[in-house]
Amino acid sequence: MKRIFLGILFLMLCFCFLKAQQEDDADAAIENVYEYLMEDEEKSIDYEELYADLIAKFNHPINLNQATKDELESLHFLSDMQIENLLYYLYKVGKIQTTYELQLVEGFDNFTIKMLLPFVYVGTNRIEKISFKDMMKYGRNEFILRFDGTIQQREGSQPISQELYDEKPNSRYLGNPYYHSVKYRFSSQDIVQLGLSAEKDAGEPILSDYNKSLYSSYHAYIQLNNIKNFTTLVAGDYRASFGQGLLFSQAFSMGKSSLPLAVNVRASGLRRLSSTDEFNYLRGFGIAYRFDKWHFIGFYSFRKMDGAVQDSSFTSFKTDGLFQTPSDWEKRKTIAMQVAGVHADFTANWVKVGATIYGCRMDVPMVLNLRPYNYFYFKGKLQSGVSVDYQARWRNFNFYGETAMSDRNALATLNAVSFSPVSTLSLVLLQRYYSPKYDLFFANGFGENSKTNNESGLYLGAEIYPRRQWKISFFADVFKFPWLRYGVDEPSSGYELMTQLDYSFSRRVSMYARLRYKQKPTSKDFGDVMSQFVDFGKGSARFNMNYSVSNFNFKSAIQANFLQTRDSATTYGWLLLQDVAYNAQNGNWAVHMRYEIFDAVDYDNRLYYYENDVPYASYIPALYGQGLRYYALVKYKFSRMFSIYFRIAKTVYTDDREIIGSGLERIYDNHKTDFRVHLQWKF
Amino acid sequence: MKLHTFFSLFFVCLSIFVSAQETTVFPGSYAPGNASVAYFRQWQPFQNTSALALEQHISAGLVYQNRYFAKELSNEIFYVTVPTKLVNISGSFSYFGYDLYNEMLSEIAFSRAFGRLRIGVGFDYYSFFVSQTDGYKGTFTANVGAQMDVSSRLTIGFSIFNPTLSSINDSYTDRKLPTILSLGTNYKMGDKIYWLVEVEKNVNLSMNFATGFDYLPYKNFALRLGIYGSDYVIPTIGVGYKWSYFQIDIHSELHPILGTTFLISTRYNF
Repeated sequence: MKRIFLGILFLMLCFCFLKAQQEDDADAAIENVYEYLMEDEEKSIDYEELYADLIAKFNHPINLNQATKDELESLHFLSDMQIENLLYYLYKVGKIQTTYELQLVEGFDNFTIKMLLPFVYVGTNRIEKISFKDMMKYGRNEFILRFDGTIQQREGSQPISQELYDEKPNSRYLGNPYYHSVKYRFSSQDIVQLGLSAEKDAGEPILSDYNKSLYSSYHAYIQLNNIKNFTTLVAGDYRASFGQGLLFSQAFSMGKSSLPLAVNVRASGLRRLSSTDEFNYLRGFGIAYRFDKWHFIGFYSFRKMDGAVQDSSFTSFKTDGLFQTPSDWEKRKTIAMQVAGVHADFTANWVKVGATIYGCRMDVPMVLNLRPYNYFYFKGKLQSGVSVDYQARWRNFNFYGETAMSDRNALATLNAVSFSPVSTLSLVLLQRYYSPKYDLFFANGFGENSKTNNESGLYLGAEIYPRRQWKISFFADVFKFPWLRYGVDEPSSGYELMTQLDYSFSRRVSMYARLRYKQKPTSKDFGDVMSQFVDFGKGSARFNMNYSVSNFNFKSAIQANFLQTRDSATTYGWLLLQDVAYNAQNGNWAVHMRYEIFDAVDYDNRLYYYENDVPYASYIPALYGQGLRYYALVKYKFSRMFSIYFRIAKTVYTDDREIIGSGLERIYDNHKTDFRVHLQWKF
Repeated sequence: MKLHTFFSLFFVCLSIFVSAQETTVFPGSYAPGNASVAYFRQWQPFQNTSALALEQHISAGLVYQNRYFAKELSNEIFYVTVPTKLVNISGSFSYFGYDLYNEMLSEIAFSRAFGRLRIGVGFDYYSFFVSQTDGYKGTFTANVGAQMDVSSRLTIGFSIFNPTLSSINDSYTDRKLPTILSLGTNYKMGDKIYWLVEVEKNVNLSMNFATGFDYLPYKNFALRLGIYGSDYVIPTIGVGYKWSYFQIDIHSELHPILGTTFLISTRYNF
């Protein structure tokens, strides 16, 4: 009896240990994906959503034998060709016996398989229908509290006399300088997802005349999946994406990255808002219904947008979600926007064709301060558009694309083909044309511009697998801007090249080298009557090595960039960093530390390198000047349910500067220390 | 004239090897190309402290380094190592300069191997001679490092000197100690050649690159060839020989403008 008792105790301890190890594996698996997605330059990517998607798939891995296209797309790092090849392999063999079989799927190299394994499993049985009671029983609840701050006092929090404040009320924050958020999430078997979140940014007022509540922004959603023929029912805050995003896309899209084949928009359809983004979301409801080979989606949203309304019109939306001063507060929730759309698609064999109609109405018209570059931008209260999208597979070829037309008869079209002529080579060729007149709020297609307009281009991406341990990734993108752009006073063109070499030296050591070069013209003011047009070339190189010894994980990296213009000297930026991470054997605590030295005298040479952070957060500082930066991230698990994360990061400038930042963020010192506390309760 | 030449050389040296107001006391290494961060065959004072973990004997050594044949630009270093069961310990002292201007650096380092991982921490005290009336001024700092044998052939190392940006500041003095991050690899090619690669960044200077080969044609003899530099490419050459308990290493490098640097290291294992 004693032996049985001890046996059970041992098994329970093993389970706890494995579970703890699993949680650490989640962070490692997501970091592995981040490595590929993080770029050398600034990009407005919602990493919170990416983390939420990946952690959801880590907690509820995809059964490869039942994998759907939508499920695989939600991983973001698989290319459309890899997804098609995997589905085709499943169709051909019927059932995968082991994950080792992934090596037999065309286009699945070792690096992709390593990234994929934490998010998939090979199962045999179909999941039976789950009762509501079981759904509640096996559901996962997550409760998160986060608190951020900066130790040094910012300009916005400096003491000020009442007289001066009355004279300049926007010279100080209305609230305390700390960030705070609270989130609750519930999910069960990917069928029910429910979430509530509230957030207060640094400097925003709470419990005051401006804001009488405890937080400054709130989100809530409920999403039900696969209830009879309803594939999705969502209410509250959500996002929608269709086709290749030319008409409507709020989803995470990678664009040009070191995964050159993954260029199409992912996670189409309706999805709950998993981040605390205060701009890019819809508020209302949406329904997706499947009928045989047809899939119908409809959605409606009504929400108040932020922007400076003057004389019953506004010039632009306020997108940063920060309401720190009286003038910010005046821009809050000033524009009522209604958005509605319908999407239908039909799937037959290896062809899928869809169509989307979308309309948007605001109660206040958008009126621009007309400049030559924004001459064709949207103006008015109403906008609408229609698009047709397609996907088809023929032999080794995958075709996909979308063509959209706005209500101003402006055209946007994107067409791509990906294929593998031989097993060691995969290619994608993508063409796009976005008219200068094409300007829709929710368009988010692949391109060089942040807006989906005024661009045409051709993109070629390739992945080569010369040997098992090697991978070469490459892309070349040539683009043209037929009309003027902000800062460029004539039609222009440019190109971008990237190549990355991945090498897996052993199971414990992997490395990559990346080279990137972009030439993009810009106008430069030389004090003459007219500004002149100069080519602006920026190149960057990075070498990154990850290695591990027992429970220690290390990363060493060097990054350099240069910037050249025709009329000025070339400037350089350098970064050297070392990471040390330790995961305790029992999985109860982990620590991650970085020490880096940067040297980029010119702001245009600023350097970016992904930093480890608390769950759902991501911070990639722009480093310029001379100095060093270090951080420590500590995780401690009180029990299987409670975890605490603490992160502290410090940047010290050694270039004799006495001020960091600008505006209300300004700090009168040569160093800046940020901290972050994250509490997590899972049950 | 001789004095003029000396001072010219002294200040050119200061401006090239270390930025103004930074110390020169940090001594060189006899590793090929000065790529010492992943060099583990022999620990060297003030280099990567983690290599100390491989020391098996009590030892004492003297190092003399001279830059450009100017005796005032010399470093003299004395060190001892004491391996223990728990942790290996070293004590090192470096003196740079001459009567009217000199800098000193002392270090006590501790290092231990955890399987294939070696970690070392050094506690340093830096001081320099200000003037006859003010005497010496000094500050504490640290030197941390690690080396990992990630396979039987590849070793990776890193070290950080002065991670805390220690400096000596008062109304008359603004002396910055260099903060240096070094990363490197040591790859064993065949049985007799070690290939070293290193990048090093002093927070206020250009990135420095180094590479070199440590060739052991015979058990007791090593031939070392390497290059390093950022603005200039500086070749290095060196030899090492071991007689029973005694070891000698000679190292030389050629700066294209300033000339030759010479280093001799002697060591006795008790």
